[in-house]
Amino acid sequence: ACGGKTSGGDNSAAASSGSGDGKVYKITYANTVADSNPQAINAKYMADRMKELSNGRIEMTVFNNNKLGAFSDCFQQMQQPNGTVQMGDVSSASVTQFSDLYTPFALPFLFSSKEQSFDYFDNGETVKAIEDQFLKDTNVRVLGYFYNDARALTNSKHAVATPADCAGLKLRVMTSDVYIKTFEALNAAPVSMQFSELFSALQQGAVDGQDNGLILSMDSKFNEVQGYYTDLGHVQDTSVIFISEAFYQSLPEDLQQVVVQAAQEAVAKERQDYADKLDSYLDEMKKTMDVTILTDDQRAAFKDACQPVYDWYRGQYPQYDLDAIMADIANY
Amino acid sequence: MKLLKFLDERLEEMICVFVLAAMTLVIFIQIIIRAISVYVTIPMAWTEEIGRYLFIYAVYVGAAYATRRRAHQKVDIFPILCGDTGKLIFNLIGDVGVLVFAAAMTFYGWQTLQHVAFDYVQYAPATKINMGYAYAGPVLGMLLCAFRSIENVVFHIKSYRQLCKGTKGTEGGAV
Amino acid sequence: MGAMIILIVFLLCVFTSVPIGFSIGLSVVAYALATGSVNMGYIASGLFASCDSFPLMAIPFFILSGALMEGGGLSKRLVLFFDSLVGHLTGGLAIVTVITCMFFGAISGSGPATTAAVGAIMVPTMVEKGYDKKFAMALVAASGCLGVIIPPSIPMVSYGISVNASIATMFMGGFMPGIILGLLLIITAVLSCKKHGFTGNGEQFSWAKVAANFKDAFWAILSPVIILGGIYSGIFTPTEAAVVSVVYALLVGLFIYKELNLKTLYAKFADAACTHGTVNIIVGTSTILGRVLTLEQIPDMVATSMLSLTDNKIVMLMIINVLLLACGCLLETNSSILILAPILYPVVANFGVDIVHFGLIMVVNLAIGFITPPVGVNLFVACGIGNIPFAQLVKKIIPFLLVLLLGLLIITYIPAVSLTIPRLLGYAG
Ligand code: NA
Ligand code: NA
Repeated sequence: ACGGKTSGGDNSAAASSGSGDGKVYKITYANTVADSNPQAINAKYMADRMKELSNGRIEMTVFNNNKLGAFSDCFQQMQQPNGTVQMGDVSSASVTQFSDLYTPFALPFLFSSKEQSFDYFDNGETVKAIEDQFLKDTNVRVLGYFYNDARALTNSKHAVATPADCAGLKLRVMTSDVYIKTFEALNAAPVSMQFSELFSALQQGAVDGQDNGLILSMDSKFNEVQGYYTDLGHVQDTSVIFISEAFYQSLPEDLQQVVVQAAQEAVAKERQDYADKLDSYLDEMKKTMDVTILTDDQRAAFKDACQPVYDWYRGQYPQYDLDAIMADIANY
Repeated sequence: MKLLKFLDERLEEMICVFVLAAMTLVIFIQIIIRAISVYVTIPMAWTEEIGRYLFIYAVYVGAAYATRRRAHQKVDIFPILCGDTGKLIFNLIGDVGVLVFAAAMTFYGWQTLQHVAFDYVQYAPATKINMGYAYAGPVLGMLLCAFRSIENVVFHIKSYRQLCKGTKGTEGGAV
Repeated sequence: MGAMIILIVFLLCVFTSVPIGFSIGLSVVAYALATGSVNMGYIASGLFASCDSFPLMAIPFFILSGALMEGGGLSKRLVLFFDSLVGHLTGGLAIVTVITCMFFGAISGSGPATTAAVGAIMVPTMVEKGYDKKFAMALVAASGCLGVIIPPSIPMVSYGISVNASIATMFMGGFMPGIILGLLLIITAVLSCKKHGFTGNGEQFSWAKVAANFKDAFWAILSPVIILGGIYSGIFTPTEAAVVSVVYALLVGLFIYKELNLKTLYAKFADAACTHGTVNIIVGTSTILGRVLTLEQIPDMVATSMLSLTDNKIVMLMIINVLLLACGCLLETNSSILILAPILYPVVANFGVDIVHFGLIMVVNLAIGFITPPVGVNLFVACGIGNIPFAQLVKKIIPFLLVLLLGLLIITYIPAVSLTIPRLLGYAG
């Protein structure tokens, strides 16, 4: 089940000839989401496309749901030649352990819409620079960005439509300094907790709310134990698709093309799947919860309230040119 | 010499007791912080992270401590059926097994440690400490395991010699 | 091929007295060397990654709190209290043993720890009052199983982690099965006592004595209320609850019962660390093995071939029970759960079996494994307390084993037994 191994030996010859020599390259792909998630479904689609485009010379097996261990473990495997894992995807918020390069994208209300984030991630000059630096730092190549939902807010206390409504809410937040600062700026009380314990903590009132995306919140049945939903959209989250650089370089050129193309096709289909799913999920959510859809003005008020996070970020990560990134985003 | 003997007797025990006590303290602080989080904002993700990394040390240094105390769970069907000599031979094989695994994991664990601590530095999400400190837990534990299993092997061989001389070796002298 | 290497090396190691955790580790290393399809670094970093888990941290704390409750005099007071309540009845001490195990089980998360803590007090007491020693030891070993069925429970923590089920919900589900099995054990024990003429403690029942013992045992009786109440009310996660129970036992043992001092405290911490080392090395290597099996896609193959056996839910659950019981004879509880739960849950999920219900089937099954030879940890512990050869104890355990199997059938085929309390508390499954 190890691509690095199968491709060992005469891969230089294969790369120079650039044509099929009948060798099958095996890829082990790891992700962190459930089987039903659009990312998981389209990772499988990527595998199918690779097989078709390469006439069976690439065989990719997808392991969802952390089955091969924590993502950090899999990522380490991608960093080395002959690693056990060659590809995978994970939320950009979880990339911080290997590199700070993706921290700007956790900033609150950085993007005005998911479409803007798609255009930026696919075409942005600054994002290309980040990918190049990431490759240099980690020896892992970025192939593209799945959509990972807009983060929304649910809670059990009252409807949230203004920043003031967040005050005093005890919210479970992912372990990310930017996320924590965001909710501190809104005067909420961010607490950290394992996702697996979140349902019962919400149910019993140990925490008042949480900020995952619509689809994950519904799939986790949080709507059954939470009364109020706000489509806050403070983060347009992406899931970064990675490939081991050592493995990528061991592929013949035509197969490198196949990998890149299959990833692009999977990304396009995944974003469409997400959009299709979001509507039906929102309808379902409206049946079970009090749903607040923010107006542009209301969202702008949240954005203003979160400005201190940007000031903090500039002090905390002075090495990144946040203004250049923001100017680039404004192009889309 | 006295220090060496003291360390030989107590090293893992002291590390484990310290780590368990520290884990208890850190997680207790976490509970308190969450209880008062509505009133004051205190960053709290660090408690979980520090607690987890201490726990890694507790697991693997604890495994070395259990090797020293010969407390690991094993299937003792054949040793029970065999006589004293057979028992010793099985104990010897058992400890050689521990040695092989622990030595391999020390070696490859050390490589992984270098990978995360130096080659591609990873930082813990909340505390931003170098992950090498956390990965050092299994390496230290497995190194100690290997050392203790060698001690046990030597002990079994000595017991075997004594058995041959007719004087019975005392089982579990280190406990 | 790969699976065969793993199996052969594992069996070879296990039967030559290599400790279980290391046997599992060696089988994975052998697989990596023979097939070259897993990087050795993946195994080594797996030692770190498999234990880098907050829920898993509940294990050392549940071990530690058990040790402190015993050392701090809490378990002794529980025994005295229940003795004053039911000790005068025929077979009274047997009832006291089971009830104390249930109560201690509500504090401790471990089966062997429950056997050790309660057995150390009850076996000598029962022998003194004329009970058969082997009967007493078998009873303690069987009742010790309740330690992992009544929450908190280390195997439930392992199950929750391996299939992503809520540990707190698992804990809620364990209550009723634990009580039912406890009652079954009490009935069996009392019938057996009647047959053999084992009487009560020879004392008169008196409310005054009950009241006095209750007062003395009050802080011990309160501890499960705090621990489980804390988990169910959502104030603590299971790991935090385990820490609270450690701190609680520490405070009561040091300042109220005053049976702990710094020296005994150090010894208890050291003992707990040692036990924890033996338990969690198995968790660590089993998790790595689980990942290697996943890479080989063995769980899918097993699931497919099991599903081809039958499409009848009742038959499938029976097949799984037999398989688990067989594993329970030989394997250690936590490693069985970590390796088998991710393989078997998808199979039963096809039949609509609830994740919590299946967790309880697995936990009860493997708890029974604590008293099935040849690898029966509770039996080993009981042998250690009573100094009786293993084979003689095995004979005495059979009636208890049979009645626990009856309980297993009830739990398997009546989901309500496991799910009523979680549903009352809001579980949606
Ligand atoms: Na328990
Ligand atoms: Na057994």
